[in-house]
Amino acid sequence: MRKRILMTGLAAFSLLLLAFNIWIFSKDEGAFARAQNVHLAPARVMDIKRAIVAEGAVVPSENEKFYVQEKLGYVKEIAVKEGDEVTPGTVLFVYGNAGLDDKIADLQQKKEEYTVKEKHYQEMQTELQSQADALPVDEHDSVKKKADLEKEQSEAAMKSELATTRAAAVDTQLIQLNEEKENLSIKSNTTGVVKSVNQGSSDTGLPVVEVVSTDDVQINGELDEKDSMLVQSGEKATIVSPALPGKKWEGTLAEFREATKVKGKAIFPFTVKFDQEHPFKTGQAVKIELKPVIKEDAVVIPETALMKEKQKTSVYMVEKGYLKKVPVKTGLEYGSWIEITSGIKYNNSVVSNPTPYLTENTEVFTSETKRDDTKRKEPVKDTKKAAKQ
Amino acid sequence: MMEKKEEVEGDHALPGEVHLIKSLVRPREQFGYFRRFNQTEGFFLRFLMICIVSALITAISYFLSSDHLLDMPIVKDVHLTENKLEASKYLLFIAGLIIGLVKPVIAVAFMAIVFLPFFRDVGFKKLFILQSVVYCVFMISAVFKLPFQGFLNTDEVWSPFSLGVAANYFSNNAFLISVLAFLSVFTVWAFYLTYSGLKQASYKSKTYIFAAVSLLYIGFMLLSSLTHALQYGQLTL
Repeated sequence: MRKRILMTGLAAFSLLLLAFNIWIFSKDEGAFARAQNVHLAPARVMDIKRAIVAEGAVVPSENEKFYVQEKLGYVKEIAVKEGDEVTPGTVLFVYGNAGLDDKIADLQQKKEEYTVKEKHYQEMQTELQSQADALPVDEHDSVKKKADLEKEQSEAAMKSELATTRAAAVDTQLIQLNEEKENLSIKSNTTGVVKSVNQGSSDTGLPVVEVVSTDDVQINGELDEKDSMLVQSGEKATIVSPALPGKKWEGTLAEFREATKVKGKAIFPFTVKFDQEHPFKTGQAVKIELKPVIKEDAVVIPETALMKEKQKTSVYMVEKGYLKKVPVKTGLEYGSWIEITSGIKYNNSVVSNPTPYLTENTEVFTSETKRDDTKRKEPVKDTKKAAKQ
Repeated sequence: MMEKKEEVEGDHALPGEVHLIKSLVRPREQFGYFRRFNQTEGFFLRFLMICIVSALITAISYFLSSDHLLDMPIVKDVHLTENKLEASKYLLFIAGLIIGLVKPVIAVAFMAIVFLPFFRDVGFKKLFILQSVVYCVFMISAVFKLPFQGFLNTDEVWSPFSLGVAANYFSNNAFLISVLAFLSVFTVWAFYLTYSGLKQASYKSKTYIFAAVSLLYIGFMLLSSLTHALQYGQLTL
C-alpha cells in the first residue's frame, strides 16, 4: 500500500515536472538546450529624442489688443463696453481726425464747383449752337458771326472738359480720403468678448480695447535656452493635465515668441496649438511634453546588452554558434536603448541580456542557432532608411 | 520455506534468467537470484537487444540533430554542397547506429568497473548485468529527449523530466544547471534500481550500499557539473 502511494506520488511529480518543462519550452525553447541559452536582439536604427517637459497655461488662442495710434488721431468714440460680445467686423472704437474732415469738406466743395462749371459750359455750348443755327445762310455778316460763335463754342467745350477732368481728380482724392476715414473705425477680427475698455487712461501701455476669443484656446509655455535650441516650430507636443491624470492630448508647437530675460537668463516663450478636441478652459495649468529629435538614424541596441568592464564597453555577438566579445563605443542614451557609435552595425545581433557567467568562445544556443546565416541577416522592420548601412 | 523461495525468485523460468523489463519495475524480485546463482541465462541475447535499441535511438538522435552537427565550424570550412550535406545526414544516421551499438558496452562496462571496488563480493559479471538494466533507464530517458532534439535540431538537450530545463531558463550558471539537470526522474529511478539490485546481490549492509551508491552518484554529478562549468569557461584550472 505504501509502495503504491509512493509510486503514485512519483508519477504525479513526474507529470507535473514534464508539464512545467513543456510550459518553459513554450516560453523559451532554448531552455532545453545544453549549451548556454542566450537571446539575441538586432541593432536597430532610430531617431533619438530627448524628453522635455515644460509648464504651460491655457490661454485664449486669439487675444486682440488695440492700442492708440496717434497718427490716426484721437479716440473720438468707443462703440463697445466690457463684456460685449463681438464678431469680426464689429466696430470697437472710432478715431477723430479734424484735418482729414476738413480736407474731405474742401474737396467735396471743389467737386461741386467743378460739376457746376461743367454743366454751365455744356449749356453754353448748346446756346451757342442754337444761335449759330438761327443766323441767315446768304448774308455776308452772318458768315463772320457764325465763325465767332463756333470759336466761342469750342472754348466752352474745352472748359467743360477741363471741369470734368478736375471733378474726376477730386473724386479720386475723395475716395482715398473716405477710405482713410473708414480706417479710423477700428473693428474686431475675432469672435469673442470685450475684456477691457480704457478710454482716456493716462497709461499709454494699456490697450484702448482688448478682445479675447471664445472659440478656442491655446497653450503658452516657456523653455530655457538649451531646450529651445532642440525644439523647432511644428514639433509635436503631448499635453497632460494634473487635473486629468492618465489622459493625453496631441498638439503642435506653433511658434516661438520673442525671448525675454528673467533673472539674467533668457526665456523663450512658445505657443502650442491643439490638434484634437480637448476639455481645457482658459486659465488651466498643463504640462507640455516635447520630444525633439537630437540625433537621426542612430544605431541603437538594448541597454541591457551592454557590458561595462573597467570603463570599457563591449557586447557579445554570436558567430557560428560561439560567443564573441566585441568592443563598442557608446553615444546617447534613449530610454531602454543606447546608441553605438562604433563596433557594430545596423542589424548585427547582440546578446540582449548577458550574464557574468557567459564566457567568450563558448558555444551558445539561440533561437537563431538552428537557422543559417542568410536568414539571420533579414532586415528588422525599422521605419528609417537603414539599408544604407 | 518453499513459498519464500518462490517469492524471492519471482517468475523466472530458469534460475538466473535475466528479465530486463521486469527488472526495471520490480527490481527486488528480479535481482533476488543474484546472491545464489551465478548463471546468467539469456543475458547475451538481451544485452544484444539493448545494443540494437541503443543504436536505433542514437541514430535517430544524430539524424534529428544533423543541422547542428553539420553547423560546426570544421564542417562549414569544408564547404559541402547541398547534396553532400543531405548525404551527410544519412552518414550521421549510420554513424549513430555504430556508436549506439558500441555505447552500451563501454558505458555499462565502465559503470561496472567503477562500482567494482565497492562491491567485490558481487563481482564484475553481476555488476555488468545490473548496470545493463540501469542503462535501459537512461535509454528510456533518451527516447523522451528525441522530440526536443527534433525541435531544436541539436542532440544536446536536457531531459524533460529533469530540473535542468528550469535551471537553464532562470540562470546561466553552468554548474548549477548541470547539477539540477542530473536530478531527474530517471536518475532517481536508476539510483533505486542500483540500490535494490546491490541489496540483493551484495552481502554488505544496507547503509554501506546506500552510502556507496550515493557517493558514486554524487561523484558522477559533481564530475559532470564541473566538466560542464569548465566547458563554458565558468571555472578555470
